[in-house]
Amino acid sequence: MTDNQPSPGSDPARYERPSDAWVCGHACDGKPCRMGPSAGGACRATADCRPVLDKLPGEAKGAWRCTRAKEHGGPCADGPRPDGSCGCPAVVCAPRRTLRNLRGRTTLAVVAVTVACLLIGLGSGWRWRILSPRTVSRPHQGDSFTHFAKERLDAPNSCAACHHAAASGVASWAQLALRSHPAPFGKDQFAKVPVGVVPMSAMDRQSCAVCHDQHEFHQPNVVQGHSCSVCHVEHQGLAMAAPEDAQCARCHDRADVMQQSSAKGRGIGSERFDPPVQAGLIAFRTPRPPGGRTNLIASFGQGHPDFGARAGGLKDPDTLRFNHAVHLGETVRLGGNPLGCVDCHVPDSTGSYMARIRYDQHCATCHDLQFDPVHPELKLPHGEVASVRAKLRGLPLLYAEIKTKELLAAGNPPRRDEVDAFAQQNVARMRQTFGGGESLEKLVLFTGDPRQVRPGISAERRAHYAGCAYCHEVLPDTGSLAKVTRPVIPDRWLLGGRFTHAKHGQMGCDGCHAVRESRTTSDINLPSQASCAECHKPGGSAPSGCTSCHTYHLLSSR
Amino acid sequence: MDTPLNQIERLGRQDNPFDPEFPDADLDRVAALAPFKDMDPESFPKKQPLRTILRCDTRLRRFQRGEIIVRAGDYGSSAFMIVSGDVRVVLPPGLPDRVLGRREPAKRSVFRAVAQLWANHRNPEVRTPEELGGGGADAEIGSRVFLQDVPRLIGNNKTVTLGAGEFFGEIAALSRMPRTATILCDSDEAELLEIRWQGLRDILKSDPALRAHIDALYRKNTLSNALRSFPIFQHLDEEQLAQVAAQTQFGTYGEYDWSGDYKKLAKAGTNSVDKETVIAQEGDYPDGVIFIRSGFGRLSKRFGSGQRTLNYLGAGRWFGLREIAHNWREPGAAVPFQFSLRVIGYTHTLFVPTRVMEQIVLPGAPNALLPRPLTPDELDIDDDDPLKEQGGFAQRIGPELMEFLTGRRIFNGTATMVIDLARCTRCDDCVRACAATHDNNPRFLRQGPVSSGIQVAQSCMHCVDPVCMIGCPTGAIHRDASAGDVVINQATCIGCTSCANNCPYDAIRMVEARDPGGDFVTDKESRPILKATKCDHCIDQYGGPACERACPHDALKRMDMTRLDTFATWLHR
Amino acid sequence: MMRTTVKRRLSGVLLLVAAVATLFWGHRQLVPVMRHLAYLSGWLLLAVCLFLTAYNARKKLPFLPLGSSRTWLQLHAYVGYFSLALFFAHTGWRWPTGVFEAALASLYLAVAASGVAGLVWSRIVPRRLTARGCEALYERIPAIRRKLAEDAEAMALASVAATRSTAVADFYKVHLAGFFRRPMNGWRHLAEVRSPRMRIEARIADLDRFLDPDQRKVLKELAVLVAQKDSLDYQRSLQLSLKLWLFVHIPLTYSLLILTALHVVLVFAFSGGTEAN
Repeated sequence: MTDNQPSPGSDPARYERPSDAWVCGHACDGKPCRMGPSAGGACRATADCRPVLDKLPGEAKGAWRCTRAKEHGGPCADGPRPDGSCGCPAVVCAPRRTLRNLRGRTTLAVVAVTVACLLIGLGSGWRWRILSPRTVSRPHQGDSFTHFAKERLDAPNSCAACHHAAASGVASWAQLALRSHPAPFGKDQFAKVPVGVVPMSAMDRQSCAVCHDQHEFHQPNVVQGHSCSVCHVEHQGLAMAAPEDAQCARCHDRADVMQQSSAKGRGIGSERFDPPVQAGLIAFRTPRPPGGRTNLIASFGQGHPDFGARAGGLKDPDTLRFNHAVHLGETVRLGGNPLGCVDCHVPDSTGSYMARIRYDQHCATCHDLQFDPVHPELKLPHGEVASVRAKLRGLPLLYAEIKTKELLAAGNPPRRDEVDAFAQQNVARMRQTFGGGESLEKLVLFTGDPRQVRPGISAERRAHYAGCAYCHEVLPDTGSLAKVTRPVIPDRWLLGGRFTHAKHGQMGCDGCHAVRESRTTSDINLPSQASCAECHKPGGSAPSGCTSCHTYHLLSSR
Repeated sequence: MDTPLNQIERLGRQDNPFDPEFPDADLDRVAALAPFKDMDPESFPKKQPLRTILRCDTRLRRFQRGEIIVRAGDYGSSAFMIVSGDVRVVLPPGLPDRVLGRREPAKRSVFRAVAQLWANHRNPEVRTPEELGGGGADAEIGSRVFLQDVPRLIGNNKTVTLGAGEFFGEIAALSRMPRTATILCDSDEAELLEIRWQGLRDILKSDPALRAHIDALYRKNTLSNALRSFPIFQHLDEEQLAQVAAQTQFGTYGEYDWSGDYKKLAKAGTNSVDKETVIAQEGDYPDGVIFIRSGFGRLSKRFGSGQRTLNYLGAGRWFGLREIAHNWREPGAAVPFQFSLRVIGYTHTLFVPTRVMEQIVLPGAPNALLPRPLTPDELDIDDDDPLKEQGGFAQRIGPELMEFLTGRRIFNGTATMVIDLARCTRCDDCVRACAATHDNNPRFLRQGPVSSGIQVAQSCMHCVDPVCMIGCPTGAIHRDASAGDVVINQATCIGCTSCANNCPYDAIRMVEARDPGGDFVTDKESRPILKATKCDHCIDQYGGPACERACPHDALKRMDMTRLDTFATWLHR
Repeated sequence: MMRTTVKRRLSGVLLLVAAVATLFWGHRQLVPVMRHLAYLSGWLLLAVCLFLTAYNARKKLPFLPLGSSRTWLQLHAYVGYFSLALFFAHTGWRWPTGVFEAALASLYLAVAASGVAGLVWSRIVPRRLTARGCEALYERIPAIRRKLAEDAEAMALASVAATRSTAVADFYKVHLAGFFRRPMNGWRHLAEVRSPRMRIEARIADLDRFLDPDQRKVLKELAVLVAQKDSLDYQRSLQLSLKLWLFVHIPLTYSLLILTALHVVLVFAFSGGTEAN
């Protein structure tokens, strides 16, 4: 059976008109009317002919004659009606749209639906949900922010806090777009990446800075205000991503910018560069280098100088005498075990830094200030020199109290003679050993090593009988015999960045702090920047971004 | 019943006389002129006496010195008889186009082109009153062109002067060929009787004397020019050429109006090759070279038990030269005709006998013009022969498609719409483009015969031999003077349907004219006014045929099918 | 000798690959240099989209020498592919997150995908249509179908009187009447599934063995009509598919343009630099 046959039946005298929008409703029967539908799609079927009145001379009425052409079937059998109208009724149809016309309608419909969706979507409360490319960061949303935006920025909604277009209706956006910067038809939109500093934009000044007014720009020697959005990219989800190193390097790795900064910094007092420290904390402040901190830094591993506290010649200024090596060595035992770092250095409540060392918590267990080996329960107070002297001057009373307690404990009423005798006996023993009165006080205050006084004392017991000068700087004083300098142990050593001990837990203290070799207080036992960079490097086990340690903005001291 | 506005007078040929204001005095004067006064009135049909023909189909025109009467290359549908004065015929190579004042076909202005976007009528087949009214204007009377300093312009061109009583332009008019020579007015004033071809045809039909006279004229005036147009005669001097001309025989084959025959054949579905008149038979003694003046011949070779078509030869081609040249050079190894030549349609040939060729033409012919001798084992065609390339292309086209092109006489088209169905997505962009450029009316149908995935759409092919023009009583269907495209003047078309019936390719459609409101225009008898419509090759549009430019898939092409090379190349593009 | 079509396609693809490579290379070079590269790529993408849409305008102006539709389609296809690359460069190979932006991107991809699918389909279907034959103008198919149905019915009715048996007429009524009445097997024709026709032919063959020569002759004629009707359905189904894909491509294009216009306004109106009044 052959498929390749001509298709049957088509009228060769008719042009197909695929450009028309309508076809006769009878076209599918193969019998479209001659007239065809109007351009608007109305059926225009009319009578087949227009009859003609034949009137012979002298005839009154005449006869109507069908004038249907022979091309269309010739005169009809029944002929015209008596009134002269055609006897063949018009065959009306419902014209149909062509496929192409339908396509046009579909296009119109889709366009209409699109416009309707946009109008509904943009006119409804979903407007911002539809338009916002991604949710803004958590601080920039929510009721409180909306309230805040209204109060501080006079913004009708939270979007308008930053986007002024959001304050006005959809209709005005096109106008605003023309006034934007960069302008839609301006050259600025094709501008190159600015060298170094990106100046603040209108939005920075009008929106960001209004609320974030307590933020100061970094350092007083920053050359120009820096656009917020360069580092803080919004609409990227609930958590705003940390700025990238490249943003820091825009200035810190550019010699010209750093030179300008350095020059600007020269006229500014160095105290204005001091990083703020939480009240009550003791900071180890390092002197500002003459040119300011304007080294060219590409990244933590490239160009970053060593920490300021480790600069050559800097010493721990504390007067307390402390030998890390001895404390961590063989001789010192606590409950029979060697001493560990954590026995003294305990993390503070945040876990980031170590809590301050306190005598009563960290020293007193060993250095409990005994002075009478026969009565070890007798201890000197820690604190003021006057208290120590008062305690020593009341020795007979101390012994009497011991005896009284002893008798009471045995169930006997304390007898005065028995008690006095005990006190005199012991005071006499102490005078015999140390000399009386003043000399005992001097010994306690100024003796650096107990062995000078008690040659036979064991190394273990030695700590318990330490005089003040064992640890402290004790200076002679005319009025009160002696003056003890108060120790100052810094709470913060590195002020330029933050550090969290908790995150470095698995490192072990020794990994960074080489204190087992440290014998003097003046040693600054901080790790070097290079040793940090061993892990904190690109591809390393720890983050190496600038923002891991540093904060760009400084909380204003105002 | 009142006459509605859309009822008009029906037009007939008599209503569209060549010269609407032909004064009776002039008519009397013309009827008293030489060939007409001697004609036997009895030999003319009663319905159409000689005087009617003269009144209706002739006009008197006056020319001044240096004025161009006909231009070489123009398609003209009328002949001229000189009443008084002299004309000068400029023989080939002729005058350059610039001198002849050829102009670009009148394009629409850019604004009017763009205006088609909104100004096209929304109703189909709307005709303006001008297009309905008639008016008998003829495209031939356009701007008149005068030549200054004729002798200098003519320069080395050979010229012939004709005087009173002589005919010219009849060949172009009757064979629907372009004018062969430019003719200028050579006296201060000349009066010419212009006869349109319908009239000339009718007169020749009824008067054998004039026919003989015209033949004699042809031999005298045109034959040497015609011969000169074939390269093999170009080296001959005047005298030799005259000798050749004297012995050249005319051949006319087929019917003047061949489309009726063709349609019958096509309907019967018979293989046309067996029905065609054989001009020269493969295997016969080569008794002369056949030069084709107009029309077509089918070149074929026996293959199996049938004929394989190798090519179709149109005007300007020849047959048998190679065999005769071979036999002349190697009389010992004479060969017969290697191919057959058959008539397709209506063909004029010039037959130059072998003896003339051997004695006059071949001896002096430069080697470059002589075809190579046939090698004994050679069955195919040779390099030098113009047939060779065409034969090669025929191979690339393939026998089925070749038979299709020949059998359906597609070769006739100079702008045949061929559609590569393997690429055509049937999107109708071509049809829509056509409608957009033709007042919202498509002028072709995207359907038609298919062979080997190639469809020849029902669109005017602008034939080399436009049979549609044969029956036209008013000359409404004519060749555009400059482009040669066949176009229909809507103003003079009387809706007689003769062109539509004549067209063998169903490319002309009769439509019912409407007024701008969409109502049919009728005559007083309420019969529809028909107009013939067809493709006008976007003659007044920018950029050429819109259909071809509108095809997104490179599937539709307006192809000159008289050449196989372009078609074969397109086929394998 | 290489065919010009092959040559053209090859050079087109090479040019496209070169253009896309240049685009990605240039984009990479410009990322660190340009402050807002998205503006540049965005405008470029818009220009390209407008150019692609301009093809429609060209089709509506066939009377002006605006270049052939063929050239336009070539450009339309290749520039369309290029626009995909440009689109991804513009979006940074990320899927946009907001509802509006996601809608815009989806529309773009839908238009692009429908375009590619349409182009591929336009290259496949004409060959299939041509191979099957039985060419028919789409607009005339209903008329032809109706004529076939009328012919078949007349043939079946006439067979009752001529053969004095209702065998063929019954067969027509049960198995063929429905087949002739409306377009059949549209999806199957698209997928080039021929089983429905083979099933009818098998039924005809089954009936054929029980008929006398007269009835057989009628049945044979009916079988020819069945084949014609099947081919007609095939033509309808495939020609329709060639028209229907544009029902997706074109409407979505205009939706896309509307959303794009809004996108441009939003980008500028909501950019960080908008000055307050």
